Amino acid sequence: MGLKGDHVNRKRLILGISITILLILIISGVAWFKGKQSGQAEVSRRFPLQRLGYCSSDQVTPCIVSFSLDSDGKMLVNFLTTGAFYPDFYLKIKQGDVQHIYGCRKASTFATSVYCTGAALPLGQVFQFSIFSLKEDVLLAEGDFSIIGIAIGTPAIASSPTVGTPATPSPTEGLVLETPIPGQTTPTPTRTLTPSYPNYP
Amino acid sequence: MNILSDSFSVLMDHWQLVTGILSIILTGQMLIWIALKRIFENRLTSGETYSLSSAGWMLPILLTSMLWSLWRSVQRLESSAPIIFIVVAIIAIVLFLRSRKDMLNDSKSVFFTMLALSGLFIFLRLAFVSQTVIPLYFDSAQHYLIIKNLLGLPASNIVALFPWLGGVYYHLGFHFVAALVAAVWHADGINVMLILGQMILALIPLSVFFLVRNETQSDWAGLLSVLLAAFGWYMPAHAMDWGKYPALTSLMLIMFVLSLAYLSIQYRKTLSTGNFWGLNAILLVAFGAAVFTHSRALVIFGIFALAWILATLWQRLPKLPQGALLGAILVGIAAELRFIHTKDVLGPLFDPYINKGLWITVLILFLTLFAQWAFPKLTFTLILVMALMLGSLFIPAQGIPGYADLTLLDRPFVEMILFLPLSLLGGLGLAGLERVLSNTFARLANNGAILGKSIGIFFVAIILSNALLHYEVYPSGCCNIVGRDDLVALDWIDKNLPAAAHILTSSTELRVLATDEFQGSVGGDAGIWINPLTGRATTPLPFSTDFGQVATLDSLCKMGITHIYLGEIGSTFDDTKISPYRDWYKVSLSMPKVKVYQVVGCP
Repeated sequence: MGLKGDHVNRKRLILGISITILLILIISGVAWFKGKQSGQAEVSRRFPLQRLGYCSSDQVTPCIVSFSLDSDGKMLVNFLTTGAFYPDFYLKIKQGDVQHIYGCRKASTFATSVYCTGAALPLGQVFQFSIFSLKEDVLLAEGDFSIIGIAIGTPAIASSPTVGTPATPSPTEGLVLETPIPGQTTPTPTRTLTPSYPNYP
Repeated sequence: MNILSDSFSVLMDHWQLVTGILSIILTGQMLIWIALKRIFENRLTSGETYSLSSAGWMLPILLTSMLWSLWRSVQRLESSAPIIFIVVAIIAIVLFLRSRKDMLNDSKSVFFTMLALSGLFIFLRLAFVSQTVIPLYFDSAQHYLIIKNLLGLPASNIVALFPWLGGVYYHLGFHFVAALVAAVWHADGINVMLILGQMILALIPLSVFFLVRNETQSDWAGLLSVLLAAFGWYMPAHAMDWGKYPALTSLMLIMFVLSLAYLSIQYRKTLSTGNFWGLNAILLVAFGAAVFTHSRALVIFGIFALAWILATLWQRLPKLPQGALLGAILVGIAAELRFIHTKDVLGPLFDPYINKGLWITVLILFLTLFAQWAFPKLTFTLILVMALMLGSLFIPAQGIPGYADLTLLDRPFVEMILFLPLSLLGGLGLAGLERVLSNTFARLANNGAILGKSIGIFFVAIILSNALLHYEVYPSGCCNIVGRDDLVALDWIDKNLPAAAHILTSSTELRVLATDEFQGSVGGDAGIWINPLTGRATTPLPFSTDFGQVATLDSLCKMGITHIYLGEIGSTFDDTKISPYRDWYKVSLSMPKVKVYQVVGCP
């Protein structure tokens, strides 16, 4: 009798666990689709046009991570997208009647990273940034902002406002210049070594 | 709710790979299930057999992957992985269907609960991937390179199968399995590492069920140990932040070997000779596979074997010396704890169990009292195992090629594996408490025994509540050395720098042992990924290198360094020591957080 009761309880337990898992899957599915609908631009334009801006903690994609310069003086615009399923696109930057087209490519292996290459632009001025799908030439996202608002690692890049000129880093600005003197050694600052494989912060 | 939607998002993005890996895991599970059913017939419950198959699925898959590598070398067939896998899967399905009548001969509830937990664990662990573009920390780059090498092996050269054995030994089990997954499903190595890693992590807790269930005959005790292993502490999941793929993979195989060894001892008199040796043959192969997957598994097996032998001898002692010895070991553990706390390198060892997981550890200590009362031999073994694991941090291991200063175990490994004995103790303790309460209630009421057994629900609820409130499935910020700018910079290097470019990358000092001796250097920033992803040659130098020195420039010129990489996160080179020297170093790529310099100052 006791065993039978135990067996019935177990069946109820299985049923309970199965229903819970099913509910979790359904709820998460609904949440995921809702998130997808509100957070991603669609080529078919059934959803509102995505606002384009700098990436922030809210992780609305696509967004711009940073602006960079390569050795040829070309500007690299680093985008974050939703991933492999985000359509291939190109970037159009407009200021008044002047517009620049930037070809974009997904960083191999990392589908969420896309970077566009083209002419270098001055800092501080407001531009209209628009991305268009390559396949159907549909506007995916758009935003007006200036390049000055980005988080910049060194003062060198921020201070090169010349139009059309590569923003070559100028190490003298914001730094004390050190001229290398052959044979003279400068003391290396010691940093405290921490154990490898750190725990949760 | 974020976790669920993030997991679902990953599932939608990678459903083909997730399904593909599941099919490989299921094939391995079926083969282990069939073998165990043949040996033990109906002696093991379906829940126990499922637990063992979850622990041992990798064994046939690893052997298949090695067979595939051999096949490629002999037959020179580049695309043979799907063929071999399909053949193995068909064999598994046919054998499974032929013997399915005996498959679920007992109560199915625990089996289906375990199955549901497997699905739930895998689903939840996928949320990790939603916030990870590339596997974390410096170890991962090495693992990726090995997988890539395995996939790109020249089919004509069998010697090329094991190029690493000529130099420094490296654990290869995870890599063989990952390479097989990538080859069978034509998947990208990075995604395979991320998703296979999470699925392995999800299955590890299920492997502890067998030992507790078989020893205690309590399903609740087995389930509690599974939940403790899954959500009790932030280990072993945090090892994923360290890129410890081989070590995590070995945990399953370690539990598989320990479970088979336990079965071999327990059933040595009741199994037929053929079945007994069949079991021992699987045990031997699994032992080899575990050590192949992570060499420190050998030390763990040694510790368990020694502890088991000592526990057997301890049990023969009279009660008083037994108690005295147990007390001495507990004092010894306390002394080890105190000593380890004084060492800054070893200090982080107890963070998961004392700082962040204190309440669960206290709960285990409470349950251990009942475990010691009801299952003294296994409990004593587990206590001794913990004492020996901590002691192994100080025992030097000499004569290993490629490594100068080693101890039997290092801090990350002990920190990662301590959850195993603790989870087992928790399960044993619950079973002990069930017995105490059943005996007590049985004297008071007719159905008192059933009331006693329901105490398991209380403990399961505690673990689940704690997990809901505190458990983190996302990657920790501690160990990410690749930023968004790094990803673009790595691709830029691949597309723009000449194939002959030789790039200097930053390194930092490895510190995991109690000794103050130099333990090696490891990648400090995303530069560690340059060689695996772009194929460009790299040379590491300490992140504190002073580039303003003529001697440094001379060294770079002699080494043939053409570029210097400054990453976004981690221990990177100091840009203020490079950028002023424009005659020596010219900017090739300037991003807000990443720089690539060209060395132009060489004569």
